[in-house]
Amino acid sequence: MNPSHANTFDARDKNWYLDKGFEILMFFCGISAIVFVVGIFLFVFKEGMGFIIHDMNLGEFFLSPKWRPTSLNQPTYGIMAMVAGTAAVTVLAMAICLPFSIGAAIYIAEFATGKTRETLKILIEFLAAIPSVVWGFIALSIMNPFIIKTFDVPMGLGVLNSALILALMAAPIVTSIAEDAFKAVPDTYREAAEALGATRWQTIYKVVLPAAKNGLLSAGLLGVGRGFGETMAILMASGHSINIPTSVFDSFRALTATIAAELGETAVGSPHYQSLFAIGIFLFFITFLINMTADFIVRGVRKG
Amino acid sequence: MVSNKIEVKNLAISYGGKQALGNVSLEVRSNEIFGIIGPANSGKTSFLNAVNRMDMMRPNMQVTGSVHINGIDTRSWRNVYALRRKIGVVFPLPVGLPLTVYDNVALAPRLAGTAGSKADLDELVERCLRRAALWDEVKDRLNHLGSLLSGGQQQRLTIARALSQSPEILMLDEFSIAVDPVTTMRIEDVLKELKNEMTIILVTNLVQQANRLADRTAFFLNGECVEIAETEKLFNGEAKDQRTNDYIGGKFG
Repeated sequence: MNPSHANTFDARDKNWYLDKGFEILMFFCGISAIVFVVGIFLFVFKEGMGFIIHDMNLGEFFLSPKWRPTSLNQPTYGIMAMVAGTAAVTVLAMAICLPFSIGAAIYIAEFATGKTRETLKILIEFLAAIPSVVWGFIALSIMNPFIIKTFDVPMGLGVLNSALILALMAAPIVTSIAEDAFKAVPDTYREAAEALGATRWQTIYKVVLPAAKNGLLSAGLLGVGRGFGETMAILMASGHSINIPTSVFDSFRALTATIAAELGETAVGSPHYQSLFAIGIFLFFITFLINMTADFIVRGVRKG
Repeated sequence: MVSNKIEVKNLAISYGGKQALGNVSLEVRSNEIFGIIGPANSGKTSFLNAVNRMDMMRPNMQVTGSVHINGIDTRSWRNVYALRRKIGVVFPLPVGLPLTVYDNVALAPRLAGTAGSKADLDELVERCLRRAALWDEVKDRLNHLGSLLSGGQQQRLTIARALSQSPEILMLDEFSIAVDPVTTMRIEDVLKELKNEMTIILVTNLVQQANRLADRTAFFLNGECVEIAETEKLFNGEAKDQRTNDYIGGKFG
């Protein structure tokens, strides 16, 4: 080979350095997410670990409905009532949210065209942009009197109010993921079904829905994750009293709301402070579990 | 008895103002295999879509002219679903719906509400799979997902599915694109048998396939129906149009 050619091939010119530079920059951007997640995890763990090792009674923590961390003679740390309340609200919220969101997604993905479709998508995304404290405000000032009047109950803050608010808050994300799931179903499936004489609804019900099943499941799970994680709106809509709810009008207290409301009033490093971080660790595991499940299901979609 | 199953008059199809097929008039006789050959973009698939009125699914597809099936104008059928049940369609790429093999074949009768008892349905599924020359390969895995079969098997599954409503017309759109030659020959044998029971429109990109199967063949080119004749005549060099001779002779396309 001509030696001058060899030099050209080996030269580290400006483009070479730029390329390398970008690669390194992107690498740091890429791993920053991991760094932050691990960092937060370690911090929460460090703060909560003292409580878990010294003060926590596992049975009491999960099975007692009594949350009395400030009691002078005998503090108890039971999160059972809060878990029950959070779970109840999440289930009810999903029961309200899923049919509407999936219905909306079906309309957007299968029926709506052109302008209608774009307008709807923008409006639904707009719903996602409303800050959660505004939702809490709506819960307090609109839903509360509405529930009191409609159902003739003494208080409108509680499971039903929170579930309605949460359903509205989760709707945009569930709708847009469900819509993606429908979009991922190949058009050839629809054509094949229609060529067999299936009506629009039969095509959706018998072919598109089963094909999008996994995506819909993961949409639902993400909604559940939202339900467990939502704090501010639920703090305002729940009534915030420690109580195992037995009816939809009962007040309850959410795990997240407890942390938000109490953390500022505890002495750093005290058992109470640490117990709140223990709740944080518990929430961490729950959302981690939900996201992992959703992820596995989505991966199933890609394979199938 | 030779009668016209499908009569097409002055059919023109355009997509958003751009013409895909213009002024086609032809008739397809009962129990014949009617071949349509032609290079890509010649309007073959659009023709099939107009026959079973799939244009309803495509808002930008405009169809003018008329298609009569059994002497009835398809434009006048409000219930296009009933029309489509009379017409089986096989697509270029196999479409195994994400259902079990059994459910794939049983889908159409179930949708139409003509499924009947479990025993009837079992028998129907077996009969369709046998006629599509697939039964022996899948009889032990009727509960497996149809979309996991091999390409050639899926294409035969599509044919079995198309047969499940005993259609009067079977339309195949370049069915052998994704199928190996051996499977293609098996499907061709199936088609020769099916001809006794139904009318078949065979769109194909393989000129020799039309030669092997079709009774009469139409040559489409750039949205125009150049020529329709007995297949034998076309392949014996008796085509009237030079372009047909060139295409069949392999000079282009």
